[in-house]
Formats: sequence, C-alpha cells, structure tokens
Amino acid sequence: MAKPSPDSKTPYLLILPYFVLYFAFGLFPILFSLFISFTSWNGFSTMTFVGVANYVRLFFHDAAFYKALYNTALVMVCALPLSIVLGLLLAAMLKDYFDRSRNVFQLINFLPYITTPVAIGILFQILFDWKAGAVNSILLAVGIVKAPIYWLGHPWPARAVVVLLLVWQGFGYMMVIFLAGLSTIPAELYEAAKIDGAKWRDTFFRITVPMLRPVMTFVLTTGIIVGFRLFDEPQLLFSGEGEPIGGPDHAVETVVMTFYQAAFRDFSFGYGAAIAYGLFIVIFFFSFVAMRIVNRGNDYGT
Amino acid sequence: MTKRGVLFAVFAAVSAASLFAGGASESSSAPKSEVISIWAWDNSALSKRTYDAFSRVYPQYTIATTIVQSQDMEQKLQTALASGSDVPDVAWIEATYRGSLLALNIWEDISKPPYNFDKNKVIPYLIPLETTTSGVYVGPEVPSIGGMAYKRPLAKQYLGTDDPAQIAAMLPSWQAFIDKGKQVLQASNGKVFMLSSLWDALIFARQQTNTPFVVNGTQLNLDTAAAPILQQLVDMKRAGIVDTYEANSPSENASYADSTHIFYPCANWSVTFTIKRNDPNGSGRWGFIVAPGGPFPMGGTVQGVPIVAKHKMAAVTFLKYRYQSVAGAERLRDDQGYFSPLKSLYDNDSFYSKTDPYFGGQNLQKIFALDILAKISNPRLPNRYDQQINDAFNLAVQSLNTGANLSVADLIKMMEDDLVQRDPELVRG
Repeated sequence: MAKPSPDSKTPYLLILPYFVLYFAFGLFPILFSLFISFTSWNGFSTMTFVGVANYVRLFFHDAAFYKALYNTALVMVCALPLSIVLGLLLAAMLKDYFDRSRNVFQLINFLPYITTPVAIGILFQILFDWKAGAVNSILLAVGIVKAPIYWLGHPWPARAVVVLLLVWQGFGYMMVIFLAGLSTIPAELYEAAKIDGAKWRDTFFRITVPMLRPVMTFVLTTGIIVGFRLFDEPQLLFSGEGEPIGGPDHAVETVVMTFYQAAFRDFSFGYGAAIAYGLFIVIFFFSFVAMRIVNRGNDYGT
Repeated sequence: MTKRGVLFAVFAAVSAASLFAGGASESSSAPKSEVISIWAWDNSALSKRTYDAFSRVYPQYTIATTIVQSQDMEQKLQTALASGSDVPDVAWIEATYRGSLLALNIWEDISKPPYNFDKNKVIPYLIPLETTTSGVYVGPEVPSIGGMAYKRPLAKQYLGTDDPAQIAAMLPSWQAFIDKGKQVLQASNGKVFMLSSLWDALIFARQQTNTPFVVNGTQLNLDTAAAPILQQLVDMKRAGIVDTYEANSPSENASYADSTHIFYPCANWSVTFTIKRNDPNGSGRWGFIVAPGGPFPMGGTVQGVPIVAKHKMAAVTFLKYRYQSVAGAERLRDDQGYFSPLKSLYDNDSFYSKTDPYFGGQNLQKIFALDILAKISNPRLPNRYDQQINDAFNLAVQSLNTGANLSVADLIKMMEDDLVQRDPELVRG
C-alpha cells in the first residue's frame, strides 16, 4: 500500500470548507460585533470609535439593563427548576409505568417544544386575555376569583404567565433528555434495590437522580444559556398595538429584548453589541457557577 | 420497438419540445419590463388592482410587492443597507416610525431633478410631514384623517337620537362628551360605555394636539405637550365612561359588533379595514360625525425612495401616477377608499361624493373631504423620538387602564423616567 506523501495538501483541502464557513459565519461576526461594541454606529453612517463608553453606560448607567437581567433571572429561576423537575418525574414514570404507551406520551409532551413561539405567544395571549380569555372564564365559573384577573396588565401576573408558558414549552424537552439518560443506567441497580425491598421513591432518589448527574449538568447549563437568551415568547406575548415593550412596567423585558431594542429599534448597533457582550459575560459566569455546583464532589475524569 | 427504444423516443420528444419552447420565448420580441420593488404591509387584491392599472398605462413597468410589517420596516431597511443587499424602490413609512426613518439620511429628494415630483400640487399640510429636518422631500402619502363613528341603535337609545347633526351638536367638546357619558353610564346601570378602550381615547386626544413632545433636539416637553392629553384620559377614566379593552385586542375588535360601546375613532381607512371588517353584519347601524374637538390626522404612510434604490426614476413615475394624476386618484378612491394628496381635486365638490348604506346613507367621502381634510392645517411634526414617545404613552395608558388611581403628574413622571432610562440623550423638561 502506498504511503501518503507527508506534504500532501489533500487533508487541508478537505477540512478547508469547514474553516472557511466557520470564519465567515462564526468567528467573523463574533469578532466584528466585539469591534463594533467599541463604536457608535447606526449601521450605515460613519463608525466612530468610542472606546469603552458603551460598556461604561451598560454596567454603570443603564438601569434598564439591570432590570432586564433581573427579569430574565427571575423568570429562569422559576421556570428552569420546574421544567427540570416535571421533565425528570415524567421521564422516570414513563420508563417505569408506561412502557407500552411511552412513545405516545413522549410525543404528546414533546409537541409544545416543537411548536413555533409565534403560535405559543398568540395562544397564551388569547388564553390569558383579560376580558375574553379562557383562563379567567374558568376561574370565574368555578368561583376562584370574583373579578377577572388582568394577567397581562400587571407585572407579577405577567411574569407568572411567562413562567407558565416556558414550563409548558420546555418540560417535554427535559423529559426526552432524561429518558435518554435513564436508558444508560444499568437495570441491575434497580433489580438489586428491588430485591433489597426499595420502593419506587427510594430508587428514584438514591439511584435515578444521582446517576443522572451528568445529564442534569447538561440540562442545567443549556437551560441557563437558553434562559438568558429568552426573547421570542415574551416579545410575542406582548406584541399587541398598545402593549408597552416587555409588558407592564417592562416586567418581562429580557436582556435580549433590551439588545433588540437598542440595536434594531434605536439604531445603536454599537451599544446593542455591548449589551450582547455584557450578556455573554453573565451567561459565562452563571454557567460556570452552575457547573461547579452540580459537579461538586464529582470525581468523573479525575 | 424495444422498451429502451420507446423510452429514448419519449425522452427525445420531450427534449425537443422543451428546446422549441425555450427557443420560442428567446425569440420573443416583447420588451422586458422594469420591476419596481415595493416594501409594504398591504398586498391585498385591492392594492394589486391599483398596481395593475399603473402597469396598463405604463406597460414598461411592473410592480412587485414584498410584505414587510410597519413595525419591521426600520429593521429590514437598516439591515439591507448595512449589509449592502437589495433595498426597495419604494418603502412604506408609517406614521409611528416616520420620525426615526426620516431622520436617517437615506432618502432621495424626489422633488428635485431629474425626478421633479411637484410638491406644489400636494395638500399643503402634508408637505412638512413628508420632509426631513434637513429639507429632503421624501415622498407623498394618502392623507389619513379621522372622525368618530358611532352605533346608531345605541345612540338612539341613550342619546335620544341617531341623527349625525344632532349628535355632533350634543358633543361640541370632550367635556360635553364626558358629561353625556356619565348619563349613559347611569341610564344603562353601568353597562354601556362611550368608548371601548383608553387607547381609543388616546388617539383623539393625541392627534388633536400639535405641541411637540421633544423640543430643542433632545429636551422632553411632556409637561406642556403630554399633560393635556393625559388629563383628558384621566378625566374619562375617573368618569368611568371608557371600558378597559386593550388596543386592537381580539376582545376590542369583537366589541364593534356588540351593544355596549357607542363611539370609536374612525379614519377614512378604518371604514373598510376596521369597522366593516369587525362588524360585517352591521350595515345601517353605524353613523359618523366630526369628533368633539375637531378634525385630526390619523395615521398616514409616506412612500419613500431610498437613495441606493435601483429603479428610482421608475419608482417616481409610479408615485406621480398614483399621487399626482386624476387617474391615480380615481383608483385610490374606487379601489381602496383612499383620498389623494392632489390638492386640485378638492376644488371640485363632486370628486369625493359617495353615499354609504352601511353608514345609514351618509356621504362619508364628502364629510371626510370637506369637513375634515380641508380643515386640517397644522398637525404635529414627525420627530425621531416618536416611537419612544409612543412606547412611553403605552406604558402610561396601560398603568391607567389597570385601574390604578394615578394622577397626570404620576403618569408624566412614569413616561419621563422610561424615556430617559431608555435613551440617555433625552433630558427632562
């Protein structure tokens, strides 16, 4: 067999398309947006270099950024654990009790995740409409409330609706990921526990949850990243003509909405890019902390 | 013939046919038409009818519309310009976004050579609305003007008449409107409202004033400009004469067909696109008057030609046809119910005259043309912060709508805080 020439260019040519595409559509936009975050630019006028002025404004003067960060973190802190818990419980129950009908339930619960956010936004807008929404109609009919709740008109109910929307949309995805994780846990562990008289609850907390730690790290980290990038759902939920941006008192305005506002409505590309990098720092920090917490005491790979 | 032979023959026949077909189209001597690209949010059959009429007069041009929603126009244009991709030959610039879009130095002055769109033919009050602060005349628009529509059966029951003249005489001012609203509320045991939404009240109050919200470039002028508007809303809210529907929500749209809300703001375009659409079985049960406080502009969409557009001359030819010719005005009137900005048409009493059975036989075109359009002279000028002001108004009105007992000073502060926080360039008044 002929030995390949040591100076053959073929391997480089083969990997070249990937690098070309990565530089064009990955690295260049990242570096270019970092560059424009140090400028004042509206997209077509002359770019003016302003140093770190955009970052000074962002971190020291922009209360809207911190409010958006608070809103995003609050919604995420409520929605993410709920989605994880629901997804995990559902996955464990489907595996143990619904072996035959598992695929059907899996599909049903996964459907919200693949539904377009536009449809979800409109659906929840109609469901939680103050005057004619189904939720208020049911609450009134059952007698839980005496007057309709202005769900999308007050800050806290609006946040609750967004949390509910995210949980409903996200737990199916969590369930699928946990089901994949569950399939990697050896059945012998459960059999041994059963012989020792362990109940479902015991095996769940002492076998399932600990063995799913790597999966947990994955869903938590990706959940935080996706959570901080939250945009479509609240944007569409409050897209009515008279709706203030980000809902009542900007209560569900997320960081990405603030970025969108700055870059694509106020024509401040430079400041918009600074917000994007500010968000990157925040995501990096929280993802790092979350991974450290979840992996505490973990000796994988050591 | 073998199976292979049959297949070959079929393939050869198909190939020959397609070659001849291609040859036929290649050899056609029909002139290639120039395509005028328009970014707009209306691509209805009615619009297309107008475009087709233009292409019949100017067969060398055809029009291709790309749907871009009014709120997305800024972003799409900005992205296209920044990336160097194709921009439209004509972009629609809606009133809310006009200030910031006109502030961008991207528009051709079509009143100058070689385009020579004649500004002198345009209704005078429209010209400043279509001109940038640096003096560039961007493009024409159909005048969008507003009055007040009402439900005749409710008016008869609670106001004692459904006659437009009598109702207009009964409501000479907004204070009279509020006083009458209290009586209606009492007579209906709190079930019938004068208006369905505070945002409707905002349309009247905001459009009937012309004090700028921002002065000296970046100084907020809300104490002078927004306070009277908000005071009117607070007065209406406290009187309980406005229901709590959100603007253009499904429930507000459904209220057009109900029997608990009497009045609605009504632009010339609202007749077709809002009232008749939301109350399809309402023929004969609607009436129309000039609103208390007088005529006012309501909406409006400038047709701008970007400097970097590819077919600027063709675009201006289209704009001249549509907005500066009698034939174009007829199409606007008959196809879409729009008015023309061509001022000479309003010297003729009969050009805009058509009774509408839906409005009990009222001649709405004549009322809009003579009683409203002819009397508008000095509307509020566009400002680059219009969109931010609009967002701040939405914030204040929604807070008021929730039932909070807010004063005008509270609402002004809320708006100022929001505006300054969002845009540090802006300074408090």
